[in-house]
Amino acid sequence: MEVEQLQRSFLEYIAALFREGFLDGQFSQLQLLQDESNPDFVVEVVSLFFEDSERLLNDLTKALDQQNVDFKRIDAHVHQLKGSSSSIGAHRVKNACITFRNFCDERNVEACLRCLQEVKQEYLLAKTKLEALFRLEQQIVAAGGAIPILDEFS
Amino acid sequence: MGDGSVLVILDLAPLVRHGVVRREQRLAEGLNAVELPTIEEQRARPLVMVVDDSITMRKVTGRVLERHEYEVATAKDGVDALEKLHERVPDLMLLDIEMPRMDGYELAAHMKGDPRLRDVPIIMITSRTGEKHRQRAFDLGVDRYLGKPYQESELLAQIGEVLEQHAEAQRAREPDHG
Repeated sequence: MEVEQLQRSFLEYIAALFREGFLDGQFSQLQLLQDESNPDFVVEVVSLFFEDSERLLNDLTKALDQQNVDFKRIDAHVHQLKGSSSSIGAHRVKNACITFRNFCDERNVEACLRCLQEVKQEYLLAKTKLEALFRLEQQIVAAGGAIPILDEFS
Repeated sequence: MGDGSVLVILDLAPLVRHGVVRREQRLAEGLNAVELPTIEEQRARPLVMVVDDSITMRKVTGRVLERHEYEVATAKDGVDALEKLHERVPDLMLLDIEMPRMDGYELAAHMKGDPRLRDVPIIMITSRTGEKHRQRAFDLGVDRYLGKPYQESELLAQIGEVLEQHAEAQRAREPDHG
């Protein structure tokens, strides 16, 4: 019974992540790419996303701290972060990046600084929630169960 | 030559120097010293090169391709792609536009100007879906243009179509031995 309870908790948790907009359909696509030959695919990709994002957020912080702000460089970083967040289904992070890019186009430093804080906040939220999701997965596997896939259309 | 045959004259010294450098590079990367031949290579599966500055995009797209029996090579920008194209020419390239050092347009233009690379079909996959970006890509000779995020089924269909069209064009160019 424990496995079933864990699986139910997992499904409820991930359904909430979709409902609250933290994740979108691209995350489901990642799950479908995971199989016996690549059993840790989702964790691997999301871990890469964490590393990449933290590097980009550091670069953005430094870039916006310069006397002469290089908006082209900032835009390139935000574009990259938008792309990687989109590729793993981190929906709110992606949307925060879209807003950020608009203010880069306007060359508005104050607005960009606010956007950076917003992106950081969304990223940290997404990271916390995904790490909790992966802990639930580990518990399911440790209890001898399989990771259920959320049927978004049921 | 006067009879139509082709005589290849090799300047050996630079070739040897290049070979020594590549051998040392391969050993430093933990690879075998001897590399696979690029021209005569027999491929069991089509080789697709994914060129994108996002490591997560490369990983996800690579996995999609591998699951559908494609061999995958990746590069993080145009400069990295050119270095890897020196080793192996792919059967098709999936190419992002916005990348550091050399963007997708620059790489596509370079490839179309290189006799060794000009026939590699290119599918551009990018978040820039405006008409002027598409047109610029097609003016450069890019074969297809897909917006991000892409649908997996659409990507695979386009890859299949482009490879088939390319193969037909190759067959049409071959001399008739009949």
